[in-house]
Amino acid sequence: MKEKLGLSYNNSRSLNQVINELPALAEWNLHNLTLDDSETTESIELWCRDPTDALKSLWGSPALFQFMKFAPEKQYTNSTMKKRLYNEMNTGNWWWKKQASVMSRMVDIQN
Amino acid sequence: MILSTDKTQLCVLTGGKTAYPVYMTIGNFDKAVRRKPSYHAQTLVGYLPTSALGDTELNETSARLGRFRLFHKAMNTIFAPLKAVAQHGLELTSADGAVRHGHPILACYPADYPEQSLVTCTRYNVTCPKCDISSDKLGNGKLGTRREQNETLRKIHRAAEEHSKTRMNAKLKSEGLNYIPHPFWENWYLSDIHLAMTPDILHQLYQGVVEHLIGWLRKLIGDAELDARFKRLPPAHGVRRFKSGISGLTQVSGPEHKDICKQLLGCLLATSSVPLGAVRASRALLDFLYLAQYPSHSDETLECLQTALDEFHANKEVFLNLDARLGT
Repeated sequence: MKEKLGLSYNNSRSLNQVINELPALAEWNLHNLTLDDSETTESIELWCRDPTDALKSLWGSPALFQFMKFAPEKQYTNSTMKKRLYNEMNTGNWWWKKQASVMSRMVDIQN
Repeated sequence: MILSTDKTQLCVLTGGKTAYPVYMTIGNFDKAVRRKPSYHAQTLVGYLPTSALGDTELNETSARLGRFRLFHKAMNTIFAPLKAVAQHGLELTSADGAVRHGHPILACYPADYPEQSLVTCTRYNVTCPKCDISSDKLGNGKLGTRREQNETLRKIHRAAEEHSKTRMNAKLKSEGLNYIPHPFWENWYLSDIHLAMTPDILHQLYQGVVEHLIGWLRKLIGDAELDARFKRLPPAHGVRRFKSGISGLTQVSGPEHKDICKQLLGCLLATSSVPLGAVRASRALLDFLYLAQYPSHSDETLECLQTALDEFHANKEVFLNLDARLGT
């Protein structure tokens, strides 16, 4: 039956193993903070996740892929292209500017 | 990267416990998706400490400053891994299998005004998180000089070089800043925290500007008359009926303000007791309010927005002349 259905697992245990190999959300870590420049030395707990892992899981989300934008755009109200439209983040000037700064830095590194 | 934090009351019954979650999302998602919790486009990345430094021997001011620094230290701890890769970038795989080189840059930080002040190290109720205007000059319709992240850092560090604490504080006070030597956005590649601050429709427009406007008009027209006018309005679909007027409302919420705004202008017109200037100024503010909420802007609508603002400034004198402004 395994061959007929083309399954990648033999029993429920190996199915669970396959599931566990899927990329999961980032794990929680505990940090202890103290304010070194203050008079108190109270130790404070901070629970957080690694934001790079969180970013990777957001970026790789299949459910959200259809709503993603990867390049800046310029939208206009009509074909004369005199009046800009601003709505999604990639239609503003910020994306263009940041892209230009990142690109120029890349060129510097390559030279 | 879009970050946001908000202190939330968890449950009053358990002794007013609060949580301070930090959320993160990316600007690559459409904004309609970002705002819908069901899409899970926001990821929870941490819980900031809330109850720290509550009962120490420190006095009120330094405990508060300590909490500010603690906030920045905690945020710095959380986002250090992301800051480390911001400049050189990292490989990101999207769901279609394509690998892209991404630079996580802090773009926006939506927050309410107290949090904006905390995040940008500016003083609460004294100055603006985006520019260097002082609170007494807010009404003159001119913009202050825009704050810039590196300039703010330099100002804080220069003040720290002063010999005495009193002189340091005086220097920081004149700049409208708080002493936070290492804010979490320090050295974050291509980021500008002051630019990342976004306006907040609920707190700044409805609970801010509109609340003032209603206050002026109540003083100008009188509570009894304004209430009577609200009561006289004919009922209509989608419009709330204020059975006993608006002056009796306490703790007016955002939706209530919205309902008031829908009918406010109708209550001003066609009587001799409201000068034309006040009507014009109110209309201009309401225009601004609605224009500012457009989901999509063009150069043209932005122009309208500016016109509405100019018209308000041209007509606001009437509130001053008639002593309608509170606190004067």
